[in-house]
Amino acid sequence: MTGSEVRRDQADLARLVRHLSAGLSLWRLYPGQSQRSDVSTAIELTQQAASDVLGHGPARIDVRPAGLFVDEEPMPTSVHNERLARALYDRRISHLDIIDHPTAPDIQVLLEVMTQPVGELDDAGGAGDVLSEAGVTGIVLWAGEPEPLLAMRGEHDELKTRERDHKQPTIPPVDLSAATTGGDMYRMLTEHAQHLPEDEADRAEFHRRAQEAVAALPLAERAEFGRQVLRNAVSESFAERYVGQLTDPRLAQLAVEVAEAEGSDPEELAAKIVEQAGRHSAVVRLVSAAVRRHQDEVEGDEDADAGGDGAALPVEDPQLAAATIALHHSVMRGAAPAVGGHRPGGPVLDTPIAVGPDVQAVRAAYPTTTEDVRVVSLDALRDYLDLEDDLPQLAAVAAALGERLRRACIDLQQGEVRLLIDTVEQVLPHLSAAAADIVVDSCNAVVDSMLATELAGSVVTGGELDDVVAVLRPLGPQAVEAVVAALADEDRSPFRRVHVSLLAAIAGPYADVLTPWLQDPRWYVVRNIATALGRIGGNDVVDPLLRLGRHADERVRREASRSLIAAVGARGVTTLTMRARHGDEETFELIVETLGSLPATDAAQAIAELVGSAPSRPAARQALETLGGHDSPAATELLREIAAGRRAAGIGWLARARARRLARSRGGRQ
Amino acid sequence: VTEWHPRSRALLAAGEVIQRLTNASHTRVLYPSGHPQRQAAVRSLMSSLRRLQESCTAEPTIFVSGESLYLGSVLLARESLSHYRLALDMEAAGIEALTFGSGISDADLEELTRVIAEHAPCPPEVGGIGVNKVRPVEVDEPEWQTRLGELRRAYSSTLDVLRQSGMRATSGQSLDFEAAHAVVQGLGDEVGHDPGYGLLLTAVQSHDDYTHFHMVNVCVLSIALGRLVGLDSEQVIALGVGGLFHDIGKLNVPADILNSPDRLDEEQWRIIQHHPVTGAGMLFATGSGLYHPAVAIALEHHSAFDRTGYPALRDRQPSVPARLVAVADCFDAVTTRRSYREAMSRHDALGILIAGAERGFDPRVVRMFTQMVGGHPVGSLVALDTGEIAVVVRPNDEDPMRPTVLTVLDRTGTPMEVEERALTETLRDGSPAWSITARVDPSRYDIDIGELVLAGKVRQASPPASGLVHEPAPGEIAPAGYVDTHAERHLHHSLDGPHTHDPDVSAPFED
Repeated sequence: MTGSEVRRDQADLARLVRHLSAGLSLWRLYPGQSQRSDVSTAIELTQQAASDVLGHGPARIDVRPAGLFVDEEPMPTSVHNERLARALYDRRISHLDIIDHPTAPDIQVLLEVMTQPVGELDDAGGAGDVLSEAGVTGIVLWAGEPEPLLAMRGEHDELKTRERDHKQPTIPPVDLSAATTGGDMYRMLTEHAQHLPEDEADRAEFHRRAQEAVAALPLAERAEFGRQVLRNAVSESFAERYVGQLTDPRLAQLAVEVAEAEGSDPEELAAKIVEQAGRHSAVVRLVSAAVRRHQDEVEGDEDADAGGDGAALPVEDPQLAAATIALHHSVMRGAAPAVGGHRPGGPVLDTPIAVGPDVQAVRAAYPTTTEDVRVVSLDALRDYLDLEDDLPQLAAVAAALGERLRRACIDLQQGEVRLLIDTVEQVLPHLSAAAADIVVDSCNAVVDSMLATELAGSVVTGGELDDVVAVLRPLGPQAVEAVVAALADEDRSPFRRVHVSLLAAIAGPYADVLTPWLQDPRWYVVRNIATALGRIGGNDVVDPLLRLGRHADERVRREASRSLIAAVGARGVTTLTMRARHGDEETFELIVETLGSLPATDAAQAIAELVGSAPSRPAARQALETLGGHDSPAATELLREIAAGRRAAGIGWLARARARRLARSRGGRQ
Repeated sequence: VTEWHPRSRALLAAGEVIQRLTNASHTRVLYPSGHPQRQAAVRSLMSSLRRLQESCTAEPTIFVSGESLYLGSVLLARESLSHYRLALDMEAAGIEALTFGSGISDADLEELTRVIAEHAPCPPEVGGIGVNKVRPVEVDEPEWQTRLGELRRAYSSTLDVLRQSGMRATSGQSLDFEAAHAVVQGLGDEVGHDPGYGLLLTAVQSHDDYTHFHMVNVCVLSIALGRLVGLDSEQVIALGVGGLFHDIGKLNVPADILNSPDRLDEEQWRIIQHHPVTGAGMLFATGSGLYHPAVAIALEHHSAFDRTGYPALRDRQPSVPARLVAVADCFDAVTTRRSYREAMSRHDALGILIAGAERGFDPRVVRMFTQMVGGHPVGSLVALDTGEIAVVVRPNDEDPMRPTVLTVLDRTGTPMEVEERALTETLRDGSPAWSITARVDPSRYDIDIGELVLAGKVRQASPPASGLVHEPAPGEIAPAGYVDTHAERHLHHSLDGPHTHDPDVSAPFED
């Protein structure tokens, strides 16, 4: 019976190819692990498919550059055919015969042979020999032209004794020696790769020569070549073919070499390669697998090797699909150390998809609390404000943000107000002027006198002033403006008291916001502002309050005086003294009066000093009288010193006599 | 029409009629009588009605039952989802069946839209349109079908709210977060009741209304992921709302850019890339969305785990909710046919996710998602070693390659009585009772998984004893539960002469 006479069922052959291809993928993943259920299933299915094929008689599958052929007819195109054809062709197998029912060990040996590196097989005499020497006779692999497919095992044994030489490819000579740098080599090979001969043997020969040429380059140039291949691969298929041909499984070594040439850390470099070559998933898979394998070698962890000579392609068979997932999974794990992720311990492939820890990790990282969600949202808000170039849309968002701010204020949500303001402040420097104006205006617009009145109302009805202060303080001068505006229009005294208290608490850094209100024609407004300034205190309010000493309304002047006293406190003596010396007579008198109301000794001393610099005799007299009435016991001695001319030397004798009288009248107060 | 029916010309035409009837009803509300828009809407409805009539060999009848729309006995599944409100309006107007005879005028259609829009009592005839001449049979739905109905209704409501939200957003109004929360809660309840079936529902996709269906599907997948993560119900709903609104910014992208089959130019690409920012803006602008994960999801779902995506975030990775939705988004997007590419199989979509782990996607989320949908993702079509074709309906945590399937076609490719099979079952010798031998491209068998899911065929343990029926053609055995409500008409027509099909029947369809 000749080959052409053999009846064969195309469907059975296709199934055999499919299962064999699936088995190969699994064997690559789990070399030697025939006890695994998926591997043993694949072997069993292959065995069964081979038996089904043999039901029609011996069969031959031809391996050609265009794929697998049976009886000169191409087998239906599928990824399995392509994969199996590639695997067979790489091992220089031109025909595959199925002549007897293979046993499970036979299939295992076949898979082992088909996953051996080509170089090792060549050294051992070729795939056909290795298979034959392992005692597999039901399946025969031929290199070169085989004998006609005659019959079952007996006749085949005879044929098998006639060994064939490998086909010697013939390709036009390519002078790769002209390339002395990695870059040149890459360009040259890329160019040639675009115009390779049709014949697969010639192509393989070309790649073999290319490998030799690359290997002959100096280390640094080889590294450069590797970089070029990995980073500039022009297409997915190119990357897969070329990286696979030239650098896998030496890819990891290449990464190390590149790192050495660059003086960088191999792991970092691997990470870079993965990142930069990431646009080609095949490259990622290859690099990841190779890097991990390299690390495993370094670590001596042979068990963790997920194998994988790359080229994990979409598949249909369940076993192969499982293998694909497992491979992807292992690559993901493998890539993890290279890209800074974690590297779980133990053999990763025992559990194809380890979910438990992932679920826990994601749950732990998930924003579950209100605070977490706020952080996530405000991160997004910051980026959004930064990214939005549609100003009307930005205005709508800013308005919503402002409204939210208003709501937070009314609800006395201090933390939220702080967060919102912080967010806006962080993002403002990154915004265009127009966008920044929109955001700021929207936030400012909601902080108005109505809000201030509403907040004051909460205090009037029993709320804590401090709570209101806490929400208003982050709003800065806008809040001060809002409160003072509310104060100006408020006719309810409890509300006014609260407003003043609020201003006292929040307006300190923004006294300049208040001072324009001192020009308000309504005397009561000015008086209230004066009260607030007095409670704010500090040097900044002294001048405005002193100026109020000239206000037309006496009620204002009186309040200003009180506020000035309140504002400067004991620590303001020096300031007041200075101002009195350099001010006009009225200011002098006001300050002397203020100092007179301060019981501290230094206030009395300040008055004594001012007696000598009074702008007029009446002013000097007022200062002496004030000192005479001062509560400080030191005032008596100060008056005596003035009387004796040891202080305020420039004053006249009448003034000294007055000082003496005043001292005597205070006799009992020493 | 047997267990499962591929989309025939008649079904497509019926879908168009439903769409235009909805449009005409809306237009009626918006414009006064005699307005050109109203006239155009009615004319458009008329032309699609003509196409429907031409594609049927007898007068077509559209039924409304259980808030779903049918052409004859065939559930117009996608239309029932898309035009849920129309079904409700028709039911409110007492319409259970519309039989479209010859001699329908524009005025008839105007009147029909009035009845529907105003929920007015419907007369027995509106010109050439017969109302309730054939009535659907009242049936007690089996539990699983009730559950399916609930799920479908939840899906429809979500679609509805999403559409309304979209309209509000594009007209400058604020999105309705509360409504979204309500419908997502409903969807979440249903998905929670049967996550596998919820996942199956995401096989429902629409080329014509891609964005809305996609957003609802991502919502469902996000809900399922959220449950897998172990979030509490509020968090799951919030994540679901994020999934629902994740592409809301696309509603502002011109359709010709979204659907362009050509390579996008720089400006078009910039517009596409801006949609996350636009979406976040729309959500932020609601005010109530400020502290909702949805805004981060909308903004960050394309930003990529390794921060190489768009828009670029400042010094940070996308938030975890956005990472979850990014995976769901990619999975649903690549499995839908678009004008610029074919749909990928669900299995290949997993490959995309896996290849993108550490880069576009958080690898932990990818692994979780893979586990969730299974090695053969729920909704995939597979061939069994028996030669039958089956739909994967439930993943198997123990062995992802051995899920639970439902057979839909026998080994000859003929629709068959569906049967649920757990592929973990073994024979006495311990060998698997069934195995998957290959993944199958649904288009190869002209199968629309979404239709199967929505029609409940994939869950049907046995043919319904009774149900919505079409009237039998002469000589055809009446289906169980058939009620002849107009025997006189039969008699009348039979006296007119021989008819291949009864004119009142929702006829067999011509392709």
